[in-house]
Amino acid sequence: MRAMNRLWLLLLVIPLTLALAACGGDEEEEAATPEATRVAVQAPVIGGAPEAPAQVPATPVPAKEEVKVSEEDEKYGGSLKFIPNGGISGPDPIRGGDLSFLAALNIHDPLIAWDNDGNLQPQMLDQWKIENDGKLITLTLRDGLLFHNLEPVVPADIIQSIHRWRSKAVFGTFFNENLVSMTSPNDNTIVAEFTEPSGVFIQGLGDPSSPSPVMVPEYLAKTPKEDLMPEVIGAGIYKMVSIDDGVKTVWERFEDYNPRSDPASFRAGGKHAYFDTIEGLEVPEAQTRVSALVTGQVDFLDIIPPDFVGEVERNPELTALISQPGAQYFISFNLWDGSPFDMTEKGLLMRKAVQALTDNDEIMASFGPEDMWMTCASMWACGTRYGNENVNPELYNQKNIDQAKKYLEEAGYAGEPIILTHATGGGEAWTAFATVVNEQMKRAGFNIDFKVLDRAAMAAYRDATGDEGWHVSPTYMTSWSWRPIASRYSTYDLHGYDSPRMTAARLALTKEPDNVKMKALADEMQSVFFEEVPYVLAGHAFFLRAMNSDLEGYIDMPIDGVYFAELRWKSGKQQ
Amino acid sequence: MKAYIARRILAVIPVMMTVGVLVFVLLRVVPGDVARSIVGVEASRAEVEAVRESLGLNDPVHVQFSLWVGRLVRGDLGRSYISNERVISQIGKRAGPTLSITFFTELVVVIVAVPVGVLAAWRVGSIVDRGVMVFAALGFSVPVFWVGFILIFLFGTWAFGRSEPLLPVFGYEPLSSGLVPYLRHLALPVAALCLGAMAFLVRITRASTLEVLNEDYVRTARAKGLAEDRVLLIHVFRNAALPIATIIGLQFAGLLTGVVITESVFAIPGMGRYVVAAMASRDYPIIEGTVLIVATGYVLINLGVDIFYAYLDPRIRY
Repeated sequence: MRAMNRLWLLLLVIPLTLALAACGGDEEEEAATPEATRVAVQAPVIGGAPEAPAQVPATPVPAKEEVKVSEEDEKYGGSLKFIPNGGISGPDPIRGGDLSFLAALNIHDPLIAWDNDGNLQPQMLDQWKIENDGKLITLTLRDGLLFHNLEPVVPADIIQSIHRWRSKAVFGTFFNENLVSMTSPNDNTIVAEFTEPSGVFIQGLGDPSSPSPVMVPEYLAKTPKEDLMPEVIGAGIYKMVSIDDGVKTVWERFEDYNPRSDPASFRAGGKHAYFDTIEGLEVPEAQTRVSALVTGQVDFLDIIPPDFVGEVERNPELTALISQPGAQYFISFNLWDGSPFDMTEKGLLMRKAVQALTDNDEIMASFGPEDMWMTCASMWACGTRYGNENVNPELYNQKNIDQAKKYLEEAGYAGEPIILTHATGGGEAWTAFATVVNEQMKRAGFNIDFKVLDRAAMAAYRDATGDEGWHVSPTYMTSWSWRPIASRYSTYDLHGYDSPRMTAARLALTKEPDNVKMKALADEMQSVFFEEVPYVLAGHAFFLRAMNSDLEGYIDMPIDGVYFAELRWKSGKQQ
Repeated sequence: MKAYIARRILAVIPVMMTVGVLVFVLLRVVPGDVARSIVGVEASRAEVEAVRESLGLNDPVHVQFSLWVGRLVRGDLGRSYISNERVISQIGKRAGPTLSITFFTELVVVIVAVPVGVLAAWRVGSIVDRGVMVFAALGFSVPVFWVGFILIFLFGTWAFGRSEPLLPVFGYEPLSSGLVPYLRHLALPVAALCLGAMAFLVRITRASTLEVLNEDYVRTARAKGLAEDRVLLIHVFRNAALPIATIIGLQFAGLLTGVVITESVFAIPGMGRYVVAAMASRDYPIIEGTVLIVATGYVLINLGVDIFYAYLDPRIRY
């Protein structure tokens, strides 16, 4: 009996001692911890700043001032280890996937890039010229451009790269039919001829969202769009040395990169690669990712679930980077014929019921602390050129259960099962979002069948063109891609959304050169969005990234992926 | 004995054929395929369909199956639909981490659990026995991912108050990069796996030893005046070893196939993570190839255990 008592005592004492030791450590740490380092970052432009000129100039504005690569730059170096948001697998500019975004930003260089003021600037180009009302566009390459295999960049590479990109990009749909030819009269010039004004061609070449218009050698650009490019060769500041699928990728500074002489400005200007090497490591578990950063095994962590905000902010050796406006979250519907939410009048009433019952504050609260999200009654990201909260504010954040019930009654809804699907793999906040939508829909009388699927199964159901597998599903888009011109979801046949009003407004917008009229067309699209309810808008959730506090020069990107140009160790080389 | 071994080897063939057919068919029944993963979420259904066609996924299942079997016969497990890498070479690269974790876990478990189990049985009812039983209950109760995160906290984040982590919290270093980094990276995942595996083996060893300890021939051995260590080692342990050997074999095979969670928690590029990632994108050649290889390993280990059985107890002939 005495032995048993001793055993129980031992079992109680050990965990208590451990717990007290852990708590004690925290107190000491808190007392000694200086103010947390936290930086709210916002990308300079998302489809252009509100005041930026929307019309593409016939020729670009010349560089503001000439800068030389400072001798100071040479003191920089060292290595950087980072964990990307997604997996590491063979990148291809026209494929999705985190490494494709990363490569597009850091391994490749664009022909044209956005600057801090929302203007398009030549990047690999020396200049462009738009003539004949946009039917003739001339691109002139700047001197000294080399690919990572040390071959010079020539017009044939550019032409073939553009062909591969336009076969997949949304922008391609606006000028593919009008493109007569792309030719190269000499060693540094490309001439594109169109049957219709196609200034959107230049906008497209400056668009950094996926698929990215990046330039690769001609032989790689000839890879069929269904196949993965066999090599990763770009003309950007870093070159890819190795890639081990699912494990890691190693990059090195491209010593022969010839930066522009004008100052770095967002994606444009003279970019510098300050690290000798960069290593990207795939770590699937969020807790392990954060632990790796906290223990100094890695220096930069892309996208951290909101649960870890406190842990990162309390650590004086880390800088938390809260990237705004982050991603926009939506409730999407199966709009194909036969679905309860299809494009019929009855389906519209069902969608309006969901719109009416939605409590956006409650949904967004599931994304963590209040400074990690915002509600915003705009289809286009708030704070950007087209963001406008005054189009149909009364249709957002209604919290009107009675109205939702009326819509359901009008629709003749009699409690048929509604399949709400949730795709796993998006983190805890993502799961909470689906759970809150489930509860809110039940309050209005929906009979919800909540199904949790993996992403591949979810994609298969969404590819179906009928009432198969799903009716309602939470989804998200980065604010970058949810833009009037580049937005994918209003053009492709996903979900069965077929709206003449939306399509007409969007096409008109791509052809409209006037700033004010463009904004009016964007408002019209937003009006259609709120009235036809292809999605119900939830709100914005910001991205949380974190890095070692000894790093500086971070340039935020409002899309998946991290931009490493200008990022460097404050002390020069890593300690 | 030779005939027995030959029969056991022949029995492997239908098992592997059944595994192959099941894996192939079940994958085709699960909704989703790799085409959407290749073209991306924003692609049109026409693009998805084009990829599906080019990969032969629209062919009838029996045609796909016969092509797959044809490649298998030639020793070709195919290429990943997504990365285009050869499946066999990828499995080769990932086998090292998985085998290392499995081997060291089983080694530690056997070295610790078997003597402790014998000790607990020998001192049944004592504080040692009760302590061992409490440990075993704990080992069964706590999930491996929880143990993994606690270990990461203890040896990495908190590090018992030190400024530097005691052990790396993730990743794997091959033996070629040095013995110390190799073992340091294995320490936490092996420790996480050991708890549950030890609990199981301790209980089996204790139960098996207890059963033998109550046999008449043990009483006789003691009555003859044999020293207790000789009684335990020669008369008790040898006879109790049969179920223990079985469990060790099965446990090794189970670890080989069941370290998925541990590999994810500690970001170890092993076979488990490889196949889980492939499952998420429905990369069929990887899933089929890995499952076949792992199933072969499982069957061979069982075969080894059966043969070892026959060696331990010559009466055994199935």
